[in-house]
Amino acid sequence: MALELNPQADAAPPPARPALHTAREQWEAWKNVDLMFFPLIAILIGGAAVFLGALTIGDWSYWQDWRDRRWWPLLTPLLLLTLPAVLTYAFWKYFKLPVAATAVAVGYLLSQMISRYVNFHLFTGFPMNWVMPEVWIGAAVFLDATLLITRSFAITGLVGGFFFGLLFYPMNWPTVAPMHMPVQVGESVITLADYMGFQYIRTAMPEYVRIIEYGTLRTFGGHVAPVTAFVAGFFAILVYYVFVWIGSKSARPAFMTKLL
Amino acid sequence: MSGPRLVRCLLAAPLLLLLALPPATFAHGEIAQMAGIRMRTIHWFDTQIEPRQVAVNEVVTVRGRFKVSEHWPDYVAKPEEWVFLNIGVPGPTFIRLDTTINGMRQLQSTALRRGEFYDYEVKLKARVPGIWHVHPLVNVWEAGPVIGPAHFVEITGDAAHFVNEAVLLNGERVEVEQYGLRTMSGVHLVWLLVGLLWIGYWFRRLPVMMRRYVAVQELGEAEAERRLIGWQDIIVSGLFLALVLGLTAGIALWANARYPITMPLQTGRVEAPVLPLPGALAPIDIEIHQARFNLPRRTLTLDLTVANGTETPLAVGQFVAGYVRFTNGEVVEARREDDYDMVAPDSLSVNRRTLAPGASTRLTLQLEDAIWEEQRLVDIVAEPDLRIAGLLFFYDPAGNRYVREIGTRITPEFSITPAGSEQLDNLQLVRSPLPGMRPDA
Ligand SMILES: [Cu+2]
Repeated sequence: MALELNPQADAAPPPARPALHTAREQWEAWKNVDLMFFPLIAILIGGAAVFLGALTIGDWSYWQDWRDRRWWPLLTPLLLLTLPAVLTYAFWKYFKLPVAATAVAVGYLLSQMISRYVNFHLFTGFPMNWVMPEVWIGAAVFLDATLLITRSFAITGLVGGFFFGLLFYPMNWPTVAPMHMPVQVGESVITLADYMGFQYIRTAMPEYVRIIEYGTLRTFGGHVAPVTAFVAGFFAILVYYVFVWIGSKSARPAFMTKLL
Repeated sequence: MSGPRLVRCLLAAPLLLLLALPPATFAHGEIAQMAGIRMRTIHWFDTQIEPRQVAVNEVVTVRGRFKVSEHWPDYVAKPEEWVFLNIGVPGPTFIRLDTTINGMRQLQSTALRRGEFYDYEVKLKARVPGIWHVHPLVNVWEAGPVIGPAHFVEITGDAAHFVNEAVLLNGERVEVEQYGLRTMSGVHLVWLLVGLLWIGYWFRRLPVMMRRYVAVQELGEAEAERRLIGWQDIIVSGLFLALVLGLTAGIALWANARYPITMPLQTGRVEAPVLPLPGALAPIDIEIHQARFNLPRRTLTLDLTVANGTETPLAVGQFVAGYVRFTNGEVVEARREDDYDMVAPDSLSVNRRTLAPGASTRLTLQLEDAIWEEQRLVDIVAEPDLRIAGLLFFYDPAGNRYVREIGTRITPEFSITPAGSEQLDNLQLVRSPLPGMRPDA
């Protein structure tokens, strides 16, 4: 594409001499493509995932006192699944590589850790345990491994997508359990997360803006978290299909061929 | 506005936009809100923020009173739904130890009633050294923050010495900022390792991407799948599936054992009791004949009739609108403590020194001060709803205080001597205090 835009290309075509002379040279050049891929994960894919997360998940991801049993384990995995599903299509279609979801998840964790440490901890001053990001690399590996074994987007969505949604809550339980320990403050007992939400002043975030589980008469014997996890699993199947389809539209062969 | 104070107060917000936008900081944003709304939502008075200089770990108390305006605009969400008494500081430079409204502890959200007075007290513990502008404020659901008056508080010492210990319900004494951090980072590390192992398996022999891409292009998808994916890959993938399921269950069970008794996040609303303010019950009736705001003079002129139903003479001492106070220097002693102080000392003048008991008296009040400009309250002449409200404070010779809220439409005046305002120049202004009157805090 760059050659076509070169005004001198028509006037004096360069001699048709390839930059790579031998198979050996080509092999080495191909390795460089791989080596470029790794920083790409950390910076581009991870950064994109963190940006998407800020736009869509936002406060559920930032603050421990938003990590409830109803909205957080439902919305977070569904929104986290979108970018992996889009990238999975191209990685599988053109490379037969089942690494897209894991690459996004690893990049997400690394970028998110930098963001939380620099922005939220060093600069704004919130304690690290209060703003730790969620963990979902395992769910991403599960999705990728399912694709490799089944070699089918349809079955991967059904199995991998479902488990992606289902596993999110138990996978993250160790990162929220300490914060759900009860504390007595005066006459009321609240969780450590609620208490830190009260203590660490967020001027623009009053307590009532939290979109979290309130009471309801429609319960399943009080098993809120498992029910939510199953619901998240079912919705994740749908999200996976929709976003793989978007991936198929955005990774057309013509575009990829020109790029490479 | 210049110097390190401003820099500290303002720098935080735009810089945070750089990466992930934590919605945490707050500076002198108060003047950005509509003047009419600021003067008709919450009237703050008796505000005390003490002490003004503390070391890390020492306690600062923010206390005072406010009235929720009877003239709350219809187009602003109502405080009877959800409100939260908050503190406006740049980030968690303090931690909040306790909040009470009319004596009731408020850890979570509450509701306030229009027309009622509330006493509040917030205890803060100094955490980050610096000079911080500390405001009380009330967040109103769907409406936003209603900001109160502020003072600068200097925190000295070393942030590293800050401690925040808590005792959990099970008796465990914990350092709040560290609790669970090792569990969380450990879990992240374990999963990071799993992710890197999975990627490492596929990239164990370079080159990978181009070799596979060319294979797919030359052989077609079906044939490339057969050649590129072997039994070893499928077995390894199966092992990873098992590893993920096993690790998830194992770590979750371990967490259950380590943190056996947990509970869901707590929500709900505790409404503070309504307690009458004694001075608000006195039989004083106010009729407003006219209210004019003269823009070039930065002066509000109120033409009123006050029926003093008490048994003592009264003097007009103070007018409070939103977080701004206008005081009558003859009656109430006040001074500005810094350039951002939201009080206008000696800015209120009145053409009658006293209001006789049992009589109705016609009065002209003038509120003239640059603070109209500083706090951008002059904007009321340019807003879609030309309406203001505020608290009028009356004082008797014994020093007792009586409060009434007034609210009115205003007529803007855009030149210094508009026709028909001669009475402005004929004011007999009070210049000496009433006998026996003592200054207000
Ligand atoms: Cu301020």
